[in-house]
Amino acid sequence: MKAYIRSSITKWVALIGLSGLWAQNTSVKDSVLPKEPYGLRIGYDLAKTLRSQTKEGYAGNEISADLRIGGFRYLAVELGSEKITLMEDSYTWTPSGSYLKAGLDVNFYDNWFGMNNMIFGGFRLARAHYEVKTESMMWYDSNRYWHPDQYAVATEIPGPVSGLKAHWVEAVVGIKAELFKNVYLGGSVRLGYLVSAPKLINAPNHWIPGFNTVTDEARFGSSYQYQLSYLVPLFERPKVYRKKKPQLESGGEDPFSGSRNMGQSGFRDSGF
Amino acid sequence: MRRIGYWLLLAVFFIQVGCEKDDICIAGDAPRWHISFRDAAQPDLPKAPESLWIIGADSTKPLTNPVPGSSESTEIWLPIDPTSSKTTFNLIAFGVLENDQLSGSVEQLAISYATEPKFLSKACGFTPQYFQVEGTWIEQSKSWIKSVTWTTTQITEDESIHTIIYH
Repeated sequence: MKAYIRSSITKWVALIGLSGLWAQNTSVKDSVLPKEPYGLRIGYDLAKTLRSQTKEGYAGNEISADLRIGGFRYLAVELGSEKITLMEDSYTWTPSGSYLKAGLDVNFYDNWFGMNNMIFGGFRLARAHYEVKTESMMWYDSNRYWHPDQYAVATEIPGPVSGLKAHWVEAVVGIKAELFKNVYLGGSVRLGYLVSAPKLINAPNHWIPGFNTVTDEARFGSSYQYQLSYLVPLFERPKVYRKKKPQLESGGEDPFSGSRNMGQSGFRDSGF
Repeated sequence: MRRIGYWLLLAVFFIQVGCEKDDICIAGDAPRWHISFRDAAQPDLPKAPESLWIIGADSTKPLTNPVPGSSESTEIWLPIDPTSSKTTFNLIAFGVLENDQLSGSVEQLAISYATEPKFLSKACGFTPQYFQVEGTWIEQSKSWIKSVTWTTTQITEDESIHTIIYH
């Protein structure tokens, strides 16, 4: 891999240098501009699938998509569903439901030409639609007179509470690395801030699909994603750089200025 | 880049492991049957029964709070059995324990009810709430109770008095 990178660096430094020289003397032609593939990247969360298989009482999956909208910005969505059976001291319960997250990612990683990796940060607006079901319960009572050994087991259990909705915002940081052409492996961590969640329902409610555990006092939650994705290339656009390449600064008519000028069409390199 | 990526992913995976929950129930408790003892001659005046023993029906074990044989309790809180639709207690006044034999004036009080769950918090879970409460006072031969007033039909908390015993 190192060898590959080194050879590609040399190759491209040479090429860029040459093209810079060349550009000073001749007019720019589109055909020499390095291009980057744009398209819809569709992903699948491996972490949820793996957890579904290894952890008893959990089932979940998530599909995601992102779309480069120019510069370093990507529109991103995730759609998933989760179901988990949680055992607490005196009861067992199952929250289940689906969630949708949509937002924006910004790539902070300046790729060399030919690479298409991301170290990104972004945000999501998220909502979940779910229900909670109590599987089994005992009567919480600190007095042990009637039931000396443990809490009394309840024989009649309240029914499921459905139609619950929660909204939250999420900060995301992560990476996406191209493993093979158009195939990416990535991961992200998310910190969620719960904006609204059902209160005072007569059932446990401290786990929300897509958000994870809700703590009693705080509104923060965290989750993660470990994702395999495939880029469906739709079109190509000239490559943009986060920083100016030093080699090009001397050239008044460097070939990459062409791509910068596309800023007017929402195609800036300094988008964020 | 790829190598950094793998390490990052690995780090992310381990950050997620190892969080612990603090499960201490502080949100509440099951409500108990709150009884107040009053003087039959002066209904507003609290009056503690003498040497009171409290034993659940079908049980041989006296309630430990208040201390068995105490003559100082003007108010008592009796535990309710959430798995049954009826809880019965024997209230024994002037109780004397001799050679493991308890003698005294026995009165039997019972409540019947319908139990409903109430979710308190993650750590506590569900506590019982009692509705359609109906009280019964079974008069015994050596009666020390003059009359009983049932003040409520539901026991959802035990700050307020549910039953007043005049003696």
